[in-house]
Amino acid sequence: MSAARTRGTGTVNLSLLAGGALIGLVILVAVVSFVWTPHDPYHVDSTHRLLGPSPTYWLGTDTFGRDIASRLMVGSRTTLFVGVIAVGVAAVLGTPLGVLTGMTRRLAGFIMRATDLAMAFPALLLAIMFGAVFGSSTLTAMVAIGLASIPAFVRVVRAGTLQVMSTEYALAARAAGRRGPGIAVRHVLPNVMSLVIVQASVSFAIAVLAEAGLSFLGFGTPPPTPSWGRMLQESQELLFTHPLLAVWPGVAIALAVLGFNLFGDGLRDRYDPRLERRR
Amino acid sequence: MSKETLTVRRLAVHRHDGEALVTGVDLTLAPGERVGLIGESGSGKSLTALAIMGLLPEGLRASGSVRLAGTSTDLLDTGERALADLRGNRLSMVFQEPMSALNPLMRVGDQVAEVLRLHQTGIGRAAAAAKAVELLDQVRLPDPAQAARAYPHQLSGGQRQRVLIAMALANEPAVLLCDEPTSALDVTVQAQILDLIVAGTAHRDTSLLFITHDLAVVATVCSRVLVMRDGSIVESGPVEQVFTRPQHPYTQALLDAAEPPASDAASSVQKAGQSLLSVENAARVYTRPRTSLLTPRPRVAGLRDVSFDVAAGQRFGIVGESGSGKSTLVRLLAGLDRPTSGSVRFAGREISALPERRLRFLREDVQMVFQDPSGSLDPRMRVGEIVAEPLVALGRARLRTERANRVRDLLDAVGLPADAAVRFPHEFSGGQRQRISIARALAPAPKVLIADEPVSALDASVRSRILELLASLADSHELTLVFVSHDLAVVRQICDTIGVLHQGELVEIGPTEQVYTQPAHPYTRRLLTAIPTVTRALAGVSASDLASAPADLPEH
Repeated sequence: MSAARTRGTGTVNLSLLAGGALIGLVILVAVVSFVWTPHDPYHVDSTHRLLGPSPTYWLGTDTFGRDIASRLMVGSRTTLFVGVIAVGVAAVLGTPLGVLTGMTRRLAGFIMRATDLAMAFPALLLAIMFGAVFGSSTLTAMVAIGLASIPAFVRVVRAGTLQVMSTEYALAARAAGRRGPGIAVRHVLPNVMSLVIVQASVSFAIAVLAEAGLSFLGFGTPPPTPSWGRMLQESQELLFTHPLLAVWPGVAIALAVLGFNLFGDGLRDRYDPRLERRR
Repeated sequence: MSKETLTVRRLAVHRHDGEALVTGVDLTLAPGERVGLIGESGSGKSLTALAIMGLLPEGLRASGSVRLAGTSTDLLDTGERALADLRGNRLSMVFQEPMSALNPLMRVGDQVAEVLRLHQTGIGRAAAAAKAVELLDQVRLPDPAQAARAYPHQLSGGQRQRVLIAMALANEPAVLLCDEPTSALDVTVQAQILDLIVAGTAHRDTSLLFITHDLAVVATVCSRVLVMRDGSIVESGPVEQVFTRPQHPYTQALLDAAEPPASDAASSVQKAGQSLLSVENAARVYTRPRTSLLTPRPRVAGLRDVSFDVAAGQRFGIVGESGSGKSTLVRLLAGLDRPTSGSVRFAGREISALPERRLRFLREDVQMVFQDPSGSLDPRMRVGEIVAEPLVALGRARLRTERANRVRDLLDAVGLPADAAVRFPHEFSGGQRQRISIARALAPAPKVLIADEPVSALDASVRSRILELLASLADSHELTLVFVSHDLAVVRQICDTIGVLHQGELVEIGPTEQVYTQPAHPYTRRLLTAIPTVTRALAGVSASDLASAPADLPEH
C-alpha cells in the first residue's frame, strides 16, 4: 500500500515537474530574446552561410548566414503566441458550447450539426481564407486554427458532460435544489476539466504544426520574423546536405509539445482527488 | 488421497509486497456436496475461488495446496496450459455479472458449443451445436433452439445466467464454483436460478462451492458452510449447526443482520397526519429511438395508472423488482421527472406541471437519498461542500461559519466525525458514504425523505446500521419516509405501509404486516414465496420450493 502511494505521487510530480520545466524553459528563452540574443536574428551575412555549430554560432547558420540559435530564441515567442491564441480561442469557446449541448436537448441538435459542418471544413483552408480576408499574420492564422479546433473541444466536453449528467450526483444536485447553471459550474465543469486539459495539450501540438504549414504557404508568420515551423520548412531542401538545419527547430518543437503534454497530464492527475490520495 | 473431489489446504493469497489477503483456508468438497462460503465484501471469498481456479489477478500469489481428484499434481503448481485444460472441463465457474461474462458479439449457442469443442476433441461442429441446444434446454430456457441463436443482449439477466450455468456444466465438471451468481438478479429469478444450480449439480454429482454474502441463500442451497472474515475462515460446519448454534460472534452478528426483527414501525402504525404526497392516476411513457423510418417510435410504459397517498409521518415502502417502475415513481415524487398523464401533488400543490424554477418549495421539503453511495457524491467535492450543497442551492445559511456549523451538526447526526468535512468521498467506505448522502438530504430540514434503494449496495451488517440510522432520524426529525427497495425484508423492517409495484402497476397496497401475512395479489404471493430466509431453509424449504411459485405470471 505504501509502495503504491509513493510511486503514485512520484509520477504525478515527475510529469508535472518535467512538463513545467520544459514550458518554463520556452518561456524563459522567449523573455530573454527580447533583451538579448547571441547575434542579430535578422542579420543576413552571405560570407557565413550554412556553417556548422561553433563557439561563435552555437547552432550554426542558415542559408542566409543568419544565426540559428538567435532565430530559435526569437521563434519561441511565435510558438507561445500560437499556442496561447489557438488553444485559448478553442477552449474558451468550445468548452461552454460542449457543456451546453450536453445539458440542453433543444440546442444540442443544432450546435452538433454546426460542429459537424465545421469539422468537415479543413482547418488550413479556413486559415488561408482568413489570411486572404484579414491579411496574413500570425494572429489571423491562429484565430483561424483556434476556431477550427472548437469542434474537437465541443465533442470531447459534450461526451464528458453527458457522462456527468447521467450520474446520480448530478441528479442529487437537482434534488438539492440546484438549477442548470449551478450544476454546470459546480459539478460538470470540474469533472470535465481533465478532458479539457488533455484536449488542450493535443490542440497545442496541432496548432504549432499548423503554424509551420501555414508559414510555409505564406499565410502564417510573414518573413523575416523567425518561426520554428518555417525554419523547419525552409530546411527541407537542404535536408540531405545540412540535416542539422532541420534538427534544431524539430527538437525545439518536439520539446515544447512534449512539455505541454506532460504538463497537461500532470495537471490532470494533480487535480483528481481520487488519484491524489489513493488508498 | 481420500474420495474428496477437491481438497484445499492452508491456502493463502499474498500481494507482491507481502501483505496477506487470504490466510490458512482449509476446505474439502465431497462428490455432489454443496458447500457455502459466506463473507462480506473484502473478506477474500472471491480471491479464494480465483486462487482455486488459478485465475488470480496480476500481482497476487497463492500458496498452500489445492488438489483435484483425478489429477496427480497440486493445482497451484500446475502450469497455465494444463490448468486451461481443466478449467471449463473438470473445474467450472459461474460469475456474478452474466452480461460481462458473455461475449457480446457471439451467439450464446456458439459460446456453449465452444466450451464443448475446447475440451472434447472428438466432437464435431454439428454435434457440439446440437449438444449446446440440449444444454440450454436443461437450464430451462424457453425455446432453446431459438435461444441458441440469440446474442447476450437479447436475453434477460436471468436468462444470461442460465446460459452461463449451461456453459459451466457443459463438460460435466467435478467441481463448480459459483461466485455470487444471483446477487444481481431479482428474487423471483434468483429462486429459479438457485433451483437450477442445485438440480444441475445433483444430477451430475458435481461438487458445488457457493460463494455469497447472503446467509439465507446458503441455508437454502448448501449442506455445509464456511464463514470467512478478513481473509480467514472463522467458523465452519453443517448449515444446521452453524446457523442455529453459531460459535463465533461474527457469525452471530451476520445472522442477526440477516434475520432482522419485524419492525417496530409496523406496530406503531401511523400517527397518521394529513396527506402530504399524493399521486393520482400517474402514468409515465418512455419513447425509445426509432427502429425503422416507417414505424412510429416504440413506446414503453414505465408506470401505468398509479394512485396512492402518503400521509405526514408515515413510513411508506415501495417494493418491486427491476423494471417494475420503482425509480420512475421516485423521480416523479421528487419532481425530477414529469408524468405523461395524471397528477403528483405535494402538500396539496400540483408539482407535475411546474418548471424547475418554481419547484423551490418542493426542494426545501422533499429530499432524496440515492442507491449508489459512490455515484451520488461528486468525486471532486469535499464532503463539507457536498453536505452544504442544498443550503447553498436554496440560499440558506449564507454565512460561511453558519454553514460550517450546520455541516458539523449534520455529520454528527449521521455518526461521522467533524473532520470528515474536509475529506473527499473516495476516502470513505460504502456505509460512510451513504451517511454523507443522508446528511446532505437532511441539510435543508426537509419534511419528506425519499430513499431509493439506500442499502442495496451495502453489506448486511452495514445495512442494518444504516436502516437503524434512517429509522431514528425519521423519528427525531419527524420525517415522512418513502422507502423504495427490491428487498422485502428491508422494507418490512422499516415501513408501516407497503405498496407493491409490478410492471409499472401498483398491484397491492396496505399495512406492512397485512401485506406480508395475507398477500392479496398473486404477484405479491410469488414474491414472498421466492425470498429465501434462514428460518425457512432450516425448516426444510428447498431451492425448488422457492421457485415453485404461482405460475400465472411470466418471467420478464
